[in-house]
Amino acid sequence: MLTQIATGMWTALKHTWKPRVTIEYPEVKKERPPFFRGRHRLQRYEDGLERCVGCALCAAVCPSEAIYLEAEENDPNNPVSAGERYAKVYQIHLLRCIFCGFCEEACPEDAIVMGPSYELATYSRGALIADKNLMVDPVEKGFGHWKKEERLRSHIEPALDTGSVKR
Amino acid sequence: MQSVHEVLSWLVHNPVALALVKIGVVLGAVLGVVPFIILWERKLIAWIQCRPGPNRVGPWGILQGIVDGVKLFLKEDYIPPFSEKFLFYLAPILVVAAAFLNLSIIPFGPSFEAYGQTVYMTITDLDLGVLFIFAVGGLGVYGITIAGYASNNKYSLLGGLRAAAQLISYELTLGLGIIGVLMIVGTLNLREISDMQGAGIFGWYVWQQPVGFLMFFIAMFAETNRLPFDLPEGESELTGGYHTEYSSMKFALFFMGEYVNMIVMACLISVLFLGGYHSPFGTKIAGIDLWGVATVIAAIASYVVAARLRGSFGYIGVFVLPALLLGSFAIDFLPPWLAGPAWVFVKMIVFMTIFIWARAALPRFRFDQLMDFGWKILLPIGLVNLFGTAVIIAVVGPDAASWVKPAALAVFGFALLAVIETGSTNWRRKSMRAKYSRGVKLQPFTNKPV
Repeated sequence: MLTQIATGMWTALKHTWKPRVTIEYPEVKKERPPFFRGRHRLQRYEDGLERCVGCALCAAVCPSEAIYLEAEENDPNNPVSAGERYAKVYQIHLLRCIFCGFCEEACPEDAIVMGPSYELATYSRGALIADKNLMVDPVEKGFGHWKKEERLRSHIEPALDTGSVKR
Repeated sequence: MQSVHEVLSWLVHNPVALALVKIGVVLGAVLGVVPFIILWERKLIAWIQCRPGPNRVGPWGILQGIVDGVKLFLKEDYIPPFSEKFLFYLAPILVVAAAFLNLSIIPFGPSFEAYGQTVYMTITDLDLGVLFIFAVGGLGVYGITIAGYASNNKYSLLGGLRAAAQLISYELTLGLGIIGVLMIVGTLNLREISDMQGAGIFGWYVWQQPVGFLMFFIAMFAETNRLPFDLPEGESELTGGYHTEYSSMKFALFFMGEYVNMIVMACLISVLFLGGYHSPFGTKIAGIDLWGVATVIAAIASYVVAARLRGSFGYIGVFVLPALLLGSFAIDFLPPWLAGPAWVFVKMIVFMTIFIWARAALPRFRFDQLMDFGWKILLPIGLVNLFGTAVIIAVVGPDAASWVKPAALAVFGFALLAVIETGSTNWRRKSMRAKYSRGVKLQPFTNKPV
């Protein structure tokens, strides 16, 4: 019995010189996959026009009713978006959002995508109602570097990608 | 300079003042070490579980123990409404008092001459040191039982009663482990027991009484309520056991009492079996210090092994164990009043590491298994060891050469250990065979065929 207890204790002790499995956040952050659903971003075209035309399909599909949208006609001399309308007020209540990604799938313009940002903690509830100026990409960022179809299927190997099947 | 000498001389000749100074030093040292032992426990358990352990508070988490103490100090001190107030306050005091009282007889170093007076490095040089431990250990049992009763909580009551039953059962094992050493030494004075092992590692009593060492070792875990015997305070069993209802400083006292108890037991086993404050180096056989050679070989081997596993250790980590082993030689170069406490400290840390390692690796005893083990297995083994030791001492007699008695005791002890090992392995094999094959039925405890 004694040798068996000693063997058991030695097996336990061996782990002290094996590498630790803990990821020491916040000094080390885990890599997120490319299709990770973090805080939303409103993308733009290359020439700086916003993609969002204020159609409110994302607000309609959202299961938690977390999106609030007010659309406005584009001024022809000074267009904000590439279509006829743009979203004047665009707010997402991040405390209601369940980060399901339906808004990203519903958007016809490839405007709203779910970005990689997940560090959203704040000290007040008001700060978690994300406004348009928080979510829209800066102008120099330009073209969103993920097309929607590419993003959603990026984890599937090329050999399996049927291409024509709509999600 | 003259006045310092006068003060010291007065101090040495005044036993009460000297005892107070010694109490201050020992208390300060022990209370200072406890936070770091708490940190070492959390760190080592974490490493065994493949995680880093506390590393946020200071570099390497050093300040974690102190921060824990401050946190416990600042917590709300809650007394359950229908509890017995006086007993509720009394229980942690009894536990901590018993733990600290045990510190007063441990010899921390050799005695030295100062100003014409022999100064012992023990708080009190009791001639019945070993008996004092048992007397005071009983007070600890009182404290735990009263804590369980006074909490007005069924879980605490069960935990307290179980702890009391466990502690008094394993005090027998503790005693039987010690008696062999007492028969060899002939005195209860802990300092003299240490002194008789001064010849280096081969003069330690662990070779002459290996079964006694094993029994004291097991009883040590049971007496400090430490895994695998920690059912009274196992969190998943009794939601905290006898200290469920305690918060803030009272809980800190229980916590500290447990760690001081562990320190005391570690120091005791090193005094009784491992030479106390004496260094393991010094036994020369044919002019070569074998233990010294073994330490050097162990240092080189640990460096080689660590270098092969370099990825896990890092560039500095490969040198830690060899440096510690080689550095243990350096302790012998300190003056004796510093080398003694240093060796006590080293041996205490080794046993604390074994305590922590056992906690991380072993499962818990069920309460009936615990009582079976204490009364039906360890007690008979202790009696057999006692009888064998007594027979050998009587047969060898006082006139034989000085190597005969230790050799005979060692042969008997290791033979008994081999019998225990094979007997228990056979028992386990039989029970495994019965469990995993059909139609084999055995009696429940003795595993005899039905």
